[in-house]
Amino acid sequence: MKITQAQYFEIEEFFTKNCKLVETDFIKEMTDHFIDAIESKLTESFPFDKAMDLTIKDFGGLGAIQKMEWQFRMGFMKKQIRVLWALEKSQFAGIKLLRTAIVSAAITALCLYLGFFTKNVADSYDFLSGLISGASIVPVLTLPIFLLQRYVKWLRVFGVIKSQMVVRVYVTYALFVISALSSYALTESGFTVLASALLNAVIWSILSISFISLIEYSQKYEGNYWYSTK
Amino acid sequence: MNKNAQQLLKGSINAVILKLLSETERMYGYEICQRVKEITSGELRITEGALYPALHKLEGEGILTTQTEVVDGRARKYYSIASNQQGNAVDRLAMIQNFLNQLQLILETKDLISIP
Repeated sequence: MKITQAQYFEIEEFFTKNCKLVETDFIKEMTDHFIDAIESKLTESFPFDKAMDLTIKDFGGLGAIQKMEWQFRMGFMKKQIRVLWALEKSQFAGIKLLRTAIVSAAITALCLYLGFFTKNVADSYDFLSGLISGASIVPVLTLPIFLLQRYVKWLRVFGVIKSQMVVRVYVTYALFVISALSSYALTESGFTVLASALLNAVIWSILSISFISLIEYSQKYEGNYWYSTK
Repeated sequence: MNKNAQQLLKGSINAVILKLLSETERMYGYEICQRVKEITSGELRITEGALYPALHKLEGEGILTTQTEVVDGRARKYYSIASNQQGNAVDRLAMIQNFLNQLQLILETKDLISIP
């Protein structure tokens, strides 16, 4: 016996409003399981509400479902890192290789120009360190909101933060910091201008290509997520 | 259903998942629960609270891959053993099989009911 559309929405609301789950993939999987379990109970002549209660009990209750979402996140984040790595590798194959070559060439030209024609390198690093400090507000705010959004209602006023966003924010920031620090260390290490410019080109090319991977990742895994949860 | 048997099953859940998936191309969560129930004639039941964390962990480790399809207007997530992890799955199952054989050797030495 099939459930009605209203009952379908009731199940979804149970996950999003009662359990306050946020991970779309997890919600979809649980909804599918609930529907199968409830439909099977409906054929045994249980009323919908009773079937729903029994299915919730099978899962161990609301708290157990919330705990399952945390466990889901652990595996999911590991998977997301693997996906990102695969995207990064894909930048060096097929048609994307051409784009990678163009980006790297442009960055190399820029690094050579800055290396040979810019005098105030120290000023550039002051600007960069300011940028890093300013940008750190994003990862610093992301994590507590991600962890507390289930318990503090007003934190969800602008939407929800999902695992994909946490992965994207932290990977972006980590890459940026690593690149900036490597570049700074390189400038201080006494290489010739040419060597320093070329090594800087390698560092910033890797960062740029990684950013392209992150944009692709975001397009693929974060599209409409905020909308669909709201 | 026997609660002790349930606990034993909980400890071997990865083996159950890998075994079932090695026999079928792909399965989804509810299907795995039902299949266990069917094989054991309802004697054993994988709880959802144990099944999904195990599935997600195996997926996170890269042993399982997933594929989402729309069935009856809703998304259904199918699990299968990753093509490059078939050997790993076989090794894990062999390890569990070996453990069960050893356990059987211990349990068979005497009749358990005649414990003094």
